[in-house]
Amino acid sequence: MQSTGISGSKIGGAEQGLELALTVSPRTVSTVRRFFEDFVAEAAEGLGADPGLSARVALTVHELLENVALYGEHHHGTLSLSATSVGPRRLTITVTNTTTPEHIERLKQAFREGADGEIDAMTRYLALMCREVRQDESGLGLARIRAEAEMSLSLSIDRDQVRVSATSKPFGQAAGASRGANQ
Amino acid sequence: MTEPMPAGPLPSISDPDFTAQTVMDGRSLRVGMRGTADLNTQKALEVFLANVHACAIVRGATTVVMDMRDLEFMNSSCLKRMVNWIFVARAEPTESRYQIVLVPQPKALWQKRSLQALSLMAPELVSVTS
Repeated sequence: MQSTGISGSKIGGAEQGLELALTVSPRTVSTVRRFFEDFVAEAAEGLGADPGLSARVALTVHELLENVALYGEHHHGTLSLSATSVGPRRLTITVTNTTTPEHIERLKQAFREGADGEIDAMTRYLALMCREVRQDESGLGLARIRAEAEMSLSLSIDRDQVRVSATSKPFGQAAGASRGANQ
Repeated sequence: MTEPMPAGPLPSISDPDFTAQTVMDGRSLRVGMRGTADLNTQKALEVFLANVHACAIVRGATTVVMDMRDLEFMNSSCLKRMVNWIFVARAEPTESRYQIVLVPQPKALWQKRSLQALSLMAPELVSVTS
């Protein structure tokens, strides 16, 4: 892994975030996953989060970062973790990278499939587990994030750049909300 | 009548980040996984699980115990390989079908949902120990 930039501050502080610009190989995805898991585990108590949050973030980071390692141009992308500073506390993990038109189409398809509000995330995930797929890919990563990590997902595309964000369910209250409530 | 396949060596994987070992314990085939199963090991895992299945059939195993207590993480591609293996096992005739027991690491919180999902692929065949 060649980290080309790291910036951020303690989650729960004023800036509420962490960002890494990195070039990642399949072999080093786990290193980044462990770093984020430890980082969130350290902050979880102060955030008022349940102990499982760090595991959910770790799963999300791993699945999103493998897409960068596999499909990102030059295996390069930006990975960020941010927390809301006002109102119900949420964590958002965002991965941004450039990629091929074919992968963008696959992402769009995965998001179209996942956007059907008639089927809950776990039911869809189990259905995808049973689906026949190409040998080299499972097509399960995003569905797993929704079902197992209980994150909501969003996708934005700007020409060849894709941005996938995963946002946790709310937990606790950010400091801004507490101050507002006391005023 | 078809001759039984030779038993052969027990399957294993030895990767810097992931290992899997197999031992026969009576009529149980015990599989121990350690480390991280991800992009680096998914093809090896696929071959390994095919060999575990063949080994269980040839040796007449009634149970395959998959010990995941030392499994740090498994990605979705490897989970899909596990699903494929479960489906292969389920397709066996009743008389040669074996049960699959998944042994989780309670502290690895991701395993709770992942292994539950695996067990739902074939509830009559797959169980998760508590």
